[in-house]
Amino acid sequence: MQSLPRTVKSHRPGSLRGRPSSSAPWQARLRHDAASAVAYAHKKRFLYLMLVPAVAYFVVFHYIPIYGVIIAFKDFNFSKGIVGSPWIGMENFRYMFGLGDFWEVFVNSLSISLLRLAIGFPFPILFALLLNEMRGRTYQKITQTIIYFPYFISWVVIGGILVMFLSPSWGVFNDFIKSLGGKPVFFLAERKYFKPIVVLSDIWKNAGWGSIIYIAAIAGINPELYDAATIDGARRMQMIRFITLPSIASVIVIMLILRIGQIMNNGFEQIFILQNASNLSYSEVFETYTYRIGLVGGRFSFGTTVGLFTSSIGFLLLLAANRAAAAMGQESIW
Amino acid sequence: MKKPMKKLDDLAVSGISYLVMTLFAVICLFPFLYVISYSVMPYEDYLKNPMSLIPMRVTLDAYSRILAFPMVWSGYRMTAFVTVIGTTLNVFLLLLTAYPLSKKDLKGRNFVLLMIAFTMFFNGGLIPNYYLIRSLRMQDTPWALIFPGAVSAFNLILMKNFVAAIPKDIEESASIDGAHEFTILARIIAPLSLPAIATFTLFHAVGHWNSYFNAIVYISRRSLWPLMLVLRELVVEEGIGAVFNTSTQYMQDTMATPFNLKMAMIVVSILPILAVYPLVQKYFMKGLLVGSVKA
Amino acid sequence: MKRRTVFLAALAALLLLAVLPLSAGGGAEKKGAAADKPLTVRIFNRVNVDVNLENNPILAQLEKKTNTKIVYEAPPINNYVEKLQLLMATSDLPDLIYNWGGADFRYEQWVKDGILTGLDGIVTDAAKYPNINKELTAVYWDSVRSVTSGKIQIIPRPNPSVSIWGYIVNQQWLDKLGLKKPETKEQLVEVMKAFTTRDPDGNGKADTYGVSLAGREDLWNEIWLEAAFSLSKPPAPDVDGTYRIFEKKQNYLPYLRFLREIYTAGLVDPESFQNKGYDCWTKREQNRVGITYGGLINVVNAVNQRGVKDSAERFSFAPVLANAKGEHSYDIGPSIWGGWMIPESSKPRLAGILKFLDYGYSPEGVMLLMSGMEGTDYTSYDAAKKLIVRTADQLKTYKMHTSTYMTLGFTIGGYSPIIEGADTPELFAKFAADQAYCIGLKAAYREVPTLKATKLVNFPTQSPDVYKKLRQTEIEFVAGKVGEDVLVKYLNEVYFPAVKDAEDEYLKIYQK
Repeated sequence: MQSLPRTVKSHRPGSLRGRPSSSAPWQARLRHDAASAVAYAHKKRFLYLMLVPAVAYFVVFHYIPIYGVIIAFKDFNFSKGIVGSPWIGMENFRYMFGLGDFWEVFVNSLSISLLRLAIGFPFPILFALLLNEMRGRTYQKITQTIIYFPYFISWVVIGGILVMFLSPSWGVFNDFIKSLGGKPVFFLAERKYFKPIVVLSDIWKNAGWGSIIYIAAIAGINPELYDAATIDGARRMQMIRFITLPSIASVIVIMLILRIGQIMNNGFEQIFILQNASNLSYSEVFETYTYRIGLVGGRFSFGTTVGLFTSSIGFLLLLAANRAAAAMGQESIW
Repeated sequence: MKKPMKKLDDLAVSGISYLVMTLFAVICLFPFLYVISYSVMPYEDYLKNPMSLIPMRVTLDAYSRILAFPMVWSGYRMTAFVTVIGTTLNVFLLLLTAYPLSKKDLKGRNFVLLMIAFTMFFNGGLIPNYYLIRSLRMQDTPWALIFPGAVSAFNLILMKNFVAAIPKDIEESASIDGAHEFTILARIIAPLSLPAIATFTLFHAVGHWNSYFNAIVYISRRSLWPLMLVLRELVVEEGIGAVFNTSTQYMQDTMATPFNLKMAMIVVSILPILAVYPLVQKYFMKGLLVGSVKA
Repeated sequence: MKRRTVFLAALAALLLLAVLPLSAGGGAEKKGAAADKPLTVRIFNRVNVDVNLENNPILAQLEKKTNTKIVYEAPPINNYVEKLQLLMATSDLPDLIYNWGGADFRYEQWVKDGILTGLDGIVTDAAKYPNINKELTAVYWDSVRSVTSGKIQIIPRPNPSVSIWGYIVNQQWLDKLGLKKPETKEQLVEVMKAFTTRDPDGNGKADTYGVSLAGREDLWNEIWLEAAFSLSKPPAPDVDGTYRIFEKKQNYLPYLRFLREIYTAGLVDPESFQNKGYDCWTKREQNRVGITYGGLINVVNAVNQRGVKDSAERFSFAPVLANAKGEHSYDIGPSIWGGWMIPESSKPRLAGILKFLDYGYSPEGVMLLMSGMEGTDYTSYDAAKKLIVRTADQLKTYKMHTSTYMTLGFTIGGYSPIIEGADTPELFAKFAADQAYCIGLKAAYREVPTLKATKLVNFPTQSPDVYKKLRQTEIEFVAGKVGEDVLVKYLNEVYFPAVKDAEDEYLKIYQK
């Protein structure tokens, strides 16, 4: 049944028709703003209703427990709990910054992560584009499925395979080098090889699965655009440049912004497996550092302190990246 | 009119894509073949030659040991339940929430997005969450594995993007016809977002399938352990889980799982995903928008 | 689209029905405690995944014998410590909580925060709790006395002294090259050279090494080598009778120099420091290295516990290398495998809980939890020979019912009642042979109470970066990455000043 056109809603004389002038008393202006807010909410009520479940979820499962971050500012006492433990302000942070190797860990974390971003980020996009250009349907499907496999195999196994391959005593790479007459290289113990190994193995494991989001984005492109381009005589490279890429640009930008927010994070498992006691000076990142300190002793709230530090930086970077993207006219988070 | 230059160019693009992707696929296939190969190799053969890919003898011993283990089956049941219910809830909430958030002009939208993005970085940690789940009486039930994480902020932001990419004219024509938002969502937005829905269904399903950490925190009874937790325990990863402050004390704790058992475990956990994936794959194929604008 | 929805909904409903009984509320505990009613004892323990804790006949038997109702929680082994810490941070603690690290820094923190109950005079009452006090002597109690409170607040689970530490060597390689098990460090170097250069596995490639170190980011896991230099971790006087902290002992630098020599000579697996967990043992089992550290039971134990079926044929055990005086001996703190803590909140029921625990330390209780019940889990047990016989079926049932991880106490008369892993006469014979060899060399160890100097014990917790950095520098020195001057510089300029306070206290306590 047709209802009245939605633009004509509750009529309250004098409410929607223009705001009282600024010379009018502030109570009148407030009442007017409140009335128009309520009217707006009523008009968009279904949209707001749709938001309720998710907002409720975040409030209950994320914002209610969020008081736990104050552990970073407390000397945690097991019997007094989070709330009852004594407040020590920035002491935990002073302690953390004062640890001998903290800044080394900071630099390592940042540099490994930046390298992974710079080199690793484009690969899933590249793979999505290349898969899209493969004409044989079945072959494309099979290839697509195969590149997902390493994602499902844990780092312990993939790392274990890597360690074996790169072993100076027993690994195939060094067997090959030896057969060419060279000396075996202990890859994982050399500073110049470690970071590339981390980045490349990350691509190996994750780039396939990571391309899914871009494949989905490409799937949503209107095929008529390609048809029109073909009629105009466009070449494939041109189609990629002028149709495919621009169409998925927004997804790429959003992924990049989100990824920048994660700049202080490196996975624990990957780094831990590739570490050994002789490469710690350039391989120790925050996740493994907290683990090692926790093994030896350290404060109970140490992990939270480090987490708060890295999260704050990450969040600020996300805000900055988002602002930059918006300024450049790209699609951003908000 | 196809000029000869164009044909060469197209061929090059095709050729490169085949070459690169095949190469990468081979590299990716290798660890998988490695895992399968060692899962059917007897442990003694592995010890004798940890690098050979081709098993001399084949035995299904590792698989029979895993599958004969009763907790594997209770794990499968639990994980299946959590995956189905959880993923449905996840995707439903994603779609429902992404739609209003995709409207740039909705007042309050930016605030909500900020508040959601904030949760990606800051959380209270194990203790307050544990208390919360306990007071919600979800502790030691499958719901503790379903509700925390019901909405993924990361995926929500991406989903909002996908929904925002849908051409506005379709929506507008519908609303002029008098349809209200729920109808638009169900009849128009949802069908047009099928690639996105398929993607996030896959992400969440795989996420549930592989998850174990929430179970460690919230579940006490072993019969409720999800599959991945059971399998991880079966293949005791002593390297990471061990506490070695005075390692010489622990003469007892030398339990280790034969390598082939670890490999079999991986295969057992991947197989169901590989079985289900082809069903979802077709939604990633192009051409779904055909005809919808005109309709 | 609609059919799929219906299908999914039906599937979900089906699964819901299947799991509904499980999801009906979490573990309803019956907190019964009327006078003659069984006492409810809640246990939080680290148990391997094979044991089925529901409808467990061993636990049922235990309940019958002690008139208790047992509520058992066993989190995943791989994350035991995390779950334990979470548990201790929340209220509503179980009655018996197992701390894997024994009287470690976590224990000290819980003592400091007052959540553990004090047990002095209570648990040591031999009249009330005879079994616990028979198995745990003064040396054990002293070792777990908290340095923070001075009280006993954990009941250790003693580790049996049937086994001793030493090294495990590939006997087949020794035989093939016509060598004997090395007894001194000089003989060790010869054997390592042979293993590295004479291709003992006969595959034509120079891919074998003498030794793989345990790694684990800390050099000090090789008791068998350290003993040759009279270096031991528990506080004992140095070779000249004076007390010194570990890093200042006379043989500290010489030992590190020795390690560096053999490492840079290529006799040691260069990836030793990549090793985590028991990787070094895996390498030995893969015939890549000839020697690793190990315990007397670990040769026969590996058959079942590690799946190495021919372990007894390939490997042999030998005790620690001889020190300057020609003795094969080492000092070690009383061996404990974790311990039981009782929270302050369970204090009202302390007597009942300790009585329950006492049964677990009795010969009957130990055997029940360690080996299961005769008939179902094993065929026969010969206490004199410590031989337990099982069929293959019984082995399967046994694994589902219980394991050594389930035990409360572990020793009978101070020794383990069984030789773990020696299930068959052949394995038992192998164990006996190795043991005889040790006795022949007069191998021995001294149980010394562990360190009780508070500051030194807490030093790694207070200054983890300094402590870690020292351990790392030691490794880099041994691996040949830095020179001795760097190590000495770090010791003199950073470590010794940082540890001075703790050192003074240590000397004051021990030099009385």
